[in-house]
Amino acid sequence: METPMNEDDLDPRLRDWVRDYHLPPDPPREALWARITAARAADRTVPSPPRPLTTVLRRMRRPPLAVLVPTGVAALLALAFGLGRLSVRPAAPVAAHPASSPNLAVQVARADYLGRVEAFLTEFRAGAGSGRPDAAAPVDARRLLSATRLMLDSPGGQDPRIRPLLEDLELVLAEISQLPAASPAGVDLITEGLDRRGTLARLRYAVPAGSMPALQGEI
Amino acid sequence: MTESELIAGVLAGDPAAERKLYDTYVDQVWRMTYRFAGDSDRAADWAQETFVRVFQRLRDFRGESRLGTWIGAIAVSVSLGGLRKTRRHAQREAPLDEGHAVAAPSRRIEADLAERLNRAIEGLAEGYRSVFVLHDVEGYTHEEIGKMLDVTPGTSKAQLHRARARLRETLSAFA
Repeated sequence: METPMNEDDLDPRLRDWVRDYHLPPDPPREALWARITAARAADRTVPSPPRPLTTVLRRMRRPPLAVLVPTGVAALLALAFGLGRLSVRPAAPVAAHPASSPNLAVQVARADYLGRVEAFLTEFRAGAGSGRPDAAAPVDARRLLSATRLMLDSPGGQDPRIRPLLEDLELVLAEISQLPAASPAGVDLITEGLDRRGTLARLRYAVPAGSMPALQGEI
Repeated sequence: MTESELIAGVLAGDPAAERKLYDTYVDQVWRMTYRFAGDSDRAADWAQETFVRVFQRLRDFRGESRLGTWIGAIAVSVSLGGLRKTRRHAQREAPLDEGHAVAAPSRRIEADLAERLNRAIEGLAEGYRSVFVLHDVEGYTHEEIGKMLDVTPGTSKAQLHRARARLRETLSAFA
């Protein structure tokens, strides 16, 4: 048991008051359990939207280069063709709801943040796969964790389309930031969690959507 | 039932194990959320959210700390998120409604020391307040707090030192 630091810093009289700070009554045990059960049941009935895409992207992650390059070129061509078609339409869907979108600065900041996390997690995963996890990963994760908490705290972080992803990222980054040096088992558990939750795929799915305003200028 | 048996039972979907986990940790979670919230409504919301996340993420628990510490970390994270949300709402609503309950305490001059102390604690920056509440109010060690807040025990000690200094300053200004 540790010795509290600066035990004398707090007046003994204050210490008694402090113990009464927001003194909790007994918990409403049964009512709370009923609420938790109901919330979990409700969660189970809502399908998780990005799963099918997650599965597709996960399967796309490790094909041989000979397959990947032509497929990528074909996908880019299809995307370019699609964008060309969209650009001649008088009312593109993206522009149809300007009032409901977060402002440009928020979108750019979000896209930048998501891009950085995606790059970090991709590198982390690759390092874990090769058995050589980056020793600086916990430090980088800590920095990104602060950014994640800021994002969660920002008005953009309240968007229900992005909040579950941010909460997932907060957890993953917290796990990486606490990773002890040379802990392959810890790295495996984190990458396993990443795969199971489809975090990277959801992140990749979110990045282009968030960065559209920035990209539009370049296109 | 050991902690690992309890976890295994919950992960296997055993309703009795789920209830057992809840019964084991509900007091701890409730105390933490209530200490941060200061009212039963918000404490219940945050305790509910904590347990929902615990059940969702238990598979990711790596066993590097006690299960209670891990659950505590989630409760703190949920509570701090809730406090930030409350503050944002208060900031948005205060100019529209001068008589709103959130704005009122800062304008009242209370003679009562407990009330002054409450306000002083609530006026602490988030990091200071978290460490102060967890250490001086709830009695967690710096090691446990470090794990919950993702900081080193040294940082926790330093934050506590500054929190106490800040409280002393604030309270002396009221004296």
